[in-house]
Amino acid sequence: MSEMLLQTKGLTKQYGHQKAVDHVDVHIRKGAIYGFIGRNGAGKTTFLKMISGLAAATNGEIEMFGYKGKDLQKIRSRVGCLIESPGLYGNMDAYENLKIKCTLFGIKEKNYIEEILKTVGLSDVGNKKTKHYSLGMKQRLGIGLALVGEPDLLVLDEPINGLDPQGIAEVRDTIQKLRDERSMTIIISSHILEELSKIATDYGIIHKGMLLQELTREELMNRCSERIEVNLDQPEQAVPVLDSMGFTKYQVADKEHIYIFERLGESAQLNMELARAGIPVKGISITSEELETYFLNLTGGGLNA
Amino acid sequence: MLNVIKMDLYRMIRTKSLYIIWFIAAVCMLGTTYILKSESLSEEIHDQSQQEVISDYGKGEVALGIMVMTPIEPGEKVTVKDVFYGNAQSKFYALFFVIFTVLFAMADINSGYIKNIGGQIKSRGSLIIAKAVSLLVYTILSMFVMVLIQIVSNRLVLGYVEIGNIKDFFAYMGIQTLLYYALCIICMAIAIILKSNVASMVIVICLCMNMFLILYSAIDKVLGMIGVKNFNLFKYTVTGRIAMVSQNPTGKECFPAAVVAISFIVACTAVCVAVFRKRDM
Repeated sequence: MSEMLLQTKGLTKQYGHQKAVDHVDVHIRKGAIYGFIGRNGAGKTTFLKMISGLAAATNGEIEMFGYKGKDLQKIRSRVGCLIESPGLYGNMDAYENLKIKCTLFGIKEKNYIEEILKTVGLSDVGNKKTKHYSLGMKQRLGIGLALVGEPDLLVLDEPINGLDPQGIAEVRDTIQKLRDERSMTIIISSHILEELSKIATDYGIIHKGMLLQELTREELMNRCSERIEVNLDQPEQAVPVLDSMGFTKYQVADKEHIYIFERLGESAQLNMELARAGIPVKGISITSEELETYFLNLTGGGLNA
Repeated sequence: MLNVIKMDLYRMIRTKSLYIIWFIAAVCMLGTTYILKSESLSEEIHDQSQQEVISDYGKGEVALGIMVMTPIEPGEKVTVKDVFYGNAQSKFYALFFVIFTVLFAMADINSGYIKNIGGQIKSRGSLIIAKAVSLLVYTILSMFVMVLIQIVSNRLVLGYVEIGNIKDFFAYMGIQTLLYYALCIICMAIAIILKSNVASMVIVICLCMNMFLILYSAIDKVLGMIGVKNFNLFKYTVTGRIAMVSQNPTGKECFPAAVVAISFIVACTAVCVAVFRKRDM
C-alpha cells in the first residue's frame, strides 16, 4: 500500500446548527491526484480550507506528512493552495504578485519567478495588470502562486470552474505538467466529473458534507463501466421484485428501462424472478454507465426515481 | 516575521492608492494654503472663520467637521509650523491617513490574496504585526511628505518659506506622529473587525470629523448622572488628544497624549491579532 500523505478522521466543520463538513475521513496517497467530487454546497471548499489551514475544524483530526494537532503548524508551508477564486492584486502584474509571496518565503533565487511563470504558461504576459487577465490566466497565476515555496501538497479548489474549453485544457495541462515534472500530490475539487476523470488517480465523493465514497480510478471505471439494464413495458412493476431480491441501488430510468448498479453477476437470476412474477422482460444486458450518472446515482440525484 | 514585514512593505510601496492619496493631499494643501493667504491678508475673513466653531467641548474648542484654524494674526508671516499645526490639529491630514489605512489593511482580504498565504505562515498574528509595522513606516513617511508638500505650497503660494521654531516644530510633529499612528491602528482594527471597506471608511471619516463627540458627550452625561462628575472622555481618546495638543507642547502635555496613543496601539493590535487568529479566511 502506498504511503499516506494526508488522512482525516471525523473532520467536521459546523456553522451554527449546520454541518458543512460532517465526520469526513479521507485517505490521500503520496503522489496521487485526488479528485474531490461534489455538487455546489457539498462541503468541498470548507474541507479544503481546513486542509489548507484557512479554516479551523470544529471536530476531528488532520494528519499530514505524519504531523497532527498543533504540530501541523510546522508543515503548513508545505501546502500550497488555490481556494475559490484566485486571490490577486489586480493593479499588479503576474511578476509582482509572485514577488510578494516570494518575499514572504524569503526566496531570492534568480529566475525563480520566471520559472514559475513558465510552468504555468504565463512567461510571455509581460507587464499586463492581472485585472486585465482572462479567467483562465488568473487561474493559472493562482496555481503559480500556490507553487511558490515548492509545496509537496497542492490544493486546488474548482480550478476549472467557469472556464471555456480552451481554459480548461490549459489548466489541465498545467496540472498534468506538475504531476509529471514535480511529482506533487494534488487535491483537485470539481463538479465537472468528465474533466476530473481525465487527470485524477483517486476520488472522494462528498455530498451534504459527508464523504460517500473513496475509490481509485480503476475502481471508479469498473463501477461506471457496468450495470444491468433491464428493458420492460412497465418498469414500476419490477420494483417489488427487485426489493424482494434485496437490490437497493437501482434506478427507474425511463418508461422502459431499469438500471441496476450492483450484483452484476445476478442478471440471469433476476430474469428468472421477473418471469416468475409474470413480468415480461424484453431484454436484459450489462452495459456501461456515464461517470455523471454514477455520481448522480450515488448522491441520490436519480436513485429510485 | 521579518519576511512578513518585508512583504507588506513591498505591497505598500507598490500600492497605487499610496501615491494617489499623497497627490490629492498635495492638491488640497495647495488649495488651503491659498485660502490661508487670503485670510491672513484680510482681517474680516479671519474673524469670520474664528467664529465658525460649531461646538466647544471641555476646555478646548473643537469643531464638528474639519475646521483648519491656524494660529496667526492678520499680517503675520505664515510659517510651515503654523500651517502644519492647523492641519494636524484639525485632523485634515488624518483624513488622508485613515483612508489609506482602510484601503491598505483590507487590500489583501478584499483581493483574496490572503488565502494564498494565510494557511502557510506559522502565526497569523504576524500578518497583523506586519501591517502595524508597515503603517508605522507609512505614518512617519507621510508626516514628512506632508511637511515637504507644505514647504512647496508655501513657496508657491506665499512666495516664501519660513519653518518657525524648529525645536517646537519637531516636538509637535513627534507627538502628532505618535497620535496619528494610533489613529491608523484604530482604523486598521475597525476595518479588520468589520471586514467592510464602506462601513469602515464611514466610521473612520466620522472619527476624523469629530462626529463621535456626540457619543462622548452622552457618555459623559451618563457618567455624571451616576456620580462621576467632570469626566471628559474626549481627553482619553486619540482624536481628542490630536485636537488638544498645543502648538508648543510641554512634557506635561506630551506624556498623557503618548500614554493614550500607546494604550490604543497596544489594545487595537492585540484585538486584531486575536480576531485574525480566530477567524476563518
